[in-house]
Amino acid sequence: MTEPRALLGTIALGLVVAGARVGSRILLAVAIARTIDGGSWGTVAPFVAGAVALVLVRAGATTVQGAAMAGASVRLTADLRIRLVRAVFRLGPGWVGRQRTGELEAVMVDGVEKLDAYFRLFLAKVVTAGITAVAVVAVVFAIDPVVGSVVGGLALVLMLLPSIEYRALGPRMRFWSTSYRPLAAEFVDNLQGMSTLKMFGVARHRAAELFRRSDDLCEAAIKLVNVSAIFWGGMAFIAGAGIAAGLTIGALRTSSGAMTSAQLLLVLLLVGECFTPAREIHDAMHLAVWGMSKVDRAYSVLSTAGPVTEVPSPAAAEGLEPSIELDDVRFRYDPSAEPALDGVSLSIRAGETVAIVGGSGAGKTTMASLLLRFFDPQEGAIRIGGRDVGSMSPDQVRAMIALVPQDTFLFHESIRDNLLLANPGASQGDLDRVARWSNADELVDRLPLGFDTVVGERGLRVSGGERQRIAIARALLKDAPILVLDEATSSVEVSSEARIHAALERLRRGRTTLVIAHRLSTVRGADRILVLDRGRLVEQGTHGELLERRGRYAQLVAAQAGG
Amino acid sequence: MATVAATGERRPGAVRGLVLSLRPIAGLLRPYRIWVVGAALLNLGVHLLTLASIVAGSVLVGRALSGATTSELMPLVWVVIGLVMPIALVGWLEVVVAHVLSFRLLNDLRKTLYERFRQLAPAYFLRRRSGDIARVAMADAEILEIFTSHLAPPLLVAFVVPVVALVGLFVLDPWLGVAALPFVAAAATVPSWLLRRAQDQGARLRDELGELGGDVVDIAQGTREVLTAGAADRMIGRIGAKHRTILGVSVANGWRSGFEQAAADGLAALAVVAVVVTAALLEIHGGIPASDLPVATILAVGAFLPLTALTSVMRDVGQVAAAADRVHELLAAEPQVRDLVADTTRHAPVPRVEFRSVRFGYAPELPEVLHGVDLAIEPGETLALVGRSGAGKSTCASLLLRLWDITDGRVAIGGVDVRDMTQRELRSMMAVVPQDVYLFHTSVMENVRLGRPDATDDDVRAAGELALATEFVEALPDGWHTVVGERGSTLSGGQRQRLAIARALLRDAPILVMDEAVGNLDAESEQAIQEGLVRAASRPTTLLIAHRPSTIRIADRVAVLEGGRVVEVGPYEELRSRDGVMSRLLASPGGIIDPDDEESTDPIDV
Repeated sequence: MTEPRALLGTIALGLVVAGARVGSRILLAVAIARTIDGGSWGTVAPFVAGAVALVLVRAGATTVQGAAMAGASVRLTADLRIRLVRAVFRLGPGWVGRQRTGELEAVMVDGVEKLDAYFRLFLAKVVTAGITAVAVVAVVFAIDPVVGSVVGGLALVLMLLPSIEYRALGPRMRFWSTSYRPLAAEFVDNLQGMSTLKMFGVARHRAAELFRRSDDLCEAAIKLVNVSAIFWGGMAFIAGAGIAAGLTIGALRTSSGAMTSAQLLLVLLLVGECFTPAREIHDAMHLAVWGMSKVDRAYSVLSTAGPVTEVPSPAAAEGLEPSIELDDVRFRYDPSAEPALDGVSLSIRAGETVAIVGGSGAGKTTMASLLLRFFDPQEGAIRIGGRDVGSMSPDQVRAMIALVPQDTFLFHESIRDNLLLANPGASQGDLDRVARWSNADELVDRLPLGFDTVVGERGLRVSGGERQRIAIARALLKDAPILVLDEATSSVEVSSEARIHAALERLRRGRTTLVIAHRLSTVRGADRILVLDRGRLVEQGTHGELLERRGRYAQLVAAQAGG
Repeated sequence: MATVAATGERRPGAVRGLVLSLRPIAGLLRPYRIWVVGAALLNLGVHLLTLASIVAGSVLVGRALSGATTSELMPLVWVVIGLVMPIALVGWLEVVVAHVLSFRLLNDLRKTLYERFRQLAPAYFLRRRSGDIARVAMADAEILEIFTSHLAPPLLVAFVVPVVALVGLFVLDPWLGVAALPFVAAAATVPSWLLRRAQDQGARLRDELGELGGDVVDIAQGTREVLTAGAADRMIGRIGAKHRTILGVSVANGWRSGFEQAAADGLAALAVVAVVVTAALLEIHGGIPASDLPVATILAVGAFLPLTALTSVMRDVGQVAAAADRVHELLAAEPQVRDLVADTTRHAPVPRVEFRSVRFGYAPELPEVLHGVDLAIEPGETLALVGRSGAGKSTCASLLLRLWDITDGRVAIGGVDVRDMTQRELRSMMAVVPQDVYLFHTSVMENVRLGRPDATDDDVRAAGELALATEFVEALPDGWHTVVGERGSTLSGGQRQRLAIARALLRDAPILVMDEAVGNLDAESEQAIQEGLVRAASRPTTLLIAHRPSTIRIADRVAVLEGGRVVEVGPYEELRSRDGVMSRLLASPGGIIDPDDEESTDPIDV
């Protein structure tokens, strides 16, 4: 990977910069000493020239360092972000659904952006600063052991102070991640839901509560930082004391004849350099600690186990018959929640259209999610063409299924790209055709740039009904042997529902179709109707048979007919 | 707009440019004037004391070099040691003041932004990515906070300290001052050399990063769609490509900022060399005593300490300016709706809703949606508004709620124009079940209580019962106290709608607006809920936006919206049998969902 190379490169450049800086100071000190000792310009000039040369070396290295750090940080960021996106895909829609937008943002964007690369480069910074400090102290020690020991001792204390500080403040620092960050997320939540707050006339009411908490946290943060400032003052004191001690001891030893003037001048120009690296480390650490929580979150996502178990080498799935079988499937989203599916067994023949009906929360959508392997059932098996879906890769399973979900997500890109997602190779002719079939052509004609109109985040400028038509068009483009319609026409108005039914009719032909419906009108044309109630399959049969039975289905029908 | 501002008018010198770009947020700083000035003065104090201490140290060294005895050196030793504590103390104070300022300022910025959103929502946010704007506003606030409290004080220091150091050099010997001056002057202009490029790059980088962030979140939220489409690798490829673009911009920015840093550092180092050479030549020719050499050298070093710090501030100026621009744009935006009257204590008007010749377009550049809508809903009456997608049904609801102001005509309640009421007064009369239900990241209980903040837990449960939410809520892991996702994404569409309905029921307002409120409910629940809502004892005046006959038929009257006008009004049965728009809407090719004809046409079509 690029990481070790980027790290080593950064460290090397940092050492060149620091070395050139210290070197030019040494040369200048020697030049001054020679002048004072009565040397001629000729004996001084080579040292001055050397100092100028080192200045130029340093400038060059600094410039390269700027570009190298920028490049390394983007590369490291890209690497982590792609790993995160893969992790999110692995965790699936179930996991995404449980995240707050702000959190997802914090993990996927901020956690990576600002901090990860920074942290890894932080390591380089610490190493560079550490080596520089040791080297400068060693030089000072070589110049004069007494000054060197005093300055070196204080520099060591200074280097250790930040870690003492963060050990002392650690628990209180966590306050930041447990209280302050969530409050910021809550602000974002309220800003996003502002229309709702306004409609209910509670925007001000909300503000009062939110502002009060914000004020409390602000004051608490100030108290915390006051403690941290004491450490900061302590560091300034130690560094100042170190420099004062070095100069004082040097001056006194020179006047007593224990040091030469050249040695004293070297101490004058180098003593500050002994303490600079420690301060750099401290400042870097200060910023790092505040941001730690976001990075933690990003790393925890990478290590979260996914909801499905992947088999190492799945067999080819081509040519499997599109029949579906559920064998005593049990599933709960959460160990403490009621089961969403509680022992469901059923089988759907290839080419059959089966409708699943039942009240809200009966387990209809769960069944679709399990079929698509967004989750694996805790017990029982799901088979496609007789093969356990667990023995295939999720991608293989999904390739066989086209889904029209209840609430479609539209990406912030053109309608064309949103459709092509399902089939990147589709032609304009294909697009026109599926748009017509799904009735999305009306929408496309109405939009200023037609297919090239960019739709807003979560399809903001597209109504619920229009969103569903795009989802249907997507499914039409995908052309998979199994079709899952999850309440596919719930947001579509009466007049277009009929046309969409015609489109779905076309879509259904020759495919195994699972229609999840709460509108009983959408079950028309189903070969069989399965009735779910609280995670169990309670009835199945044709419309006529079920009506005759006067059970749960008949109840639902009666309600829909308006009693 | 950030890019425009960066490439456009802004062309003044570095520091002035920075100040100009921050002028918009100066208003926010006003209450903290004392703190800002205090932080800057303390920062200056630290730097001047530090300069004094290193100069004292160099004088000490100079004396020692020229053979002073220990007792002659002692007074200077005490000065050097004596300065250590004050530097630490002033430094400590500065950290405290800067952070207090930081936290208070950020707290204030958040509140200000909340207030702005309150005034501007939803009109201003119509055509922007919603997630983006709230997040960006908050992120920008943090950038500004860091800038004002951590990076702005060095500006003052960068001006004062070099001047003091230069004066010191001139006092030692005018030639020393002359040797250092050009370098100090040149170093001060370094940030302006490439300022324009810095701003362009900063703005571009932030825009690209913002876009990338939006894309990544977009992709993550659309995980289900990506996975079902088998598009995971394509999406990852896309993120990779975007990063390569950013890599280019970022490396260019790195070269530029690296070069600036190198130039500033280089000039500082060369100034020291120049001063050392000048001092050496002066000393060789007897112009200055040897003991002045260390002092001259240290003054030259000291002159540049704050300038180097300034350069590192200026490296980020592009990003800060871009953030300031965006926050300013938000703060300067005009709310589409504002209160035109003061809060009155009048009696609530009769809940009779009236639209008279209402015309409306979402923005001047967008086509008009309503071309003169006339509509009246009598107190206690339920009116269903029907029409095709995009006919303007939800727009009518928003206008009644005064989320927008109309372009022409009049919307009135009990004869009082909605613009003659405060927004608070108007909305206190309304309960809304919106099409897009927003649930906050808090418990189910609190989400419902939003309808009436002073409602008791029992009131909330009762409303939940009426909205048929009890059963599913109690099956949640923590029942009523389960925290639901930000967009209620852990709940199904139907469950979210039930909570929204419970909210509206709890509110018990004289006017009820239901915008496709039951689209995601099964028929059984829909019917029970509808009855509960509309036939409630208080009999609210109801505007019902719907597209299903089963929903529409409970209305007393139906109004059909087409082409931005109400084209038909009347009882459902009447419109259904009349040969008009309504019957065309119903009688579509499949001939479906007309419950009363259900037995006679298609037995499956219930």
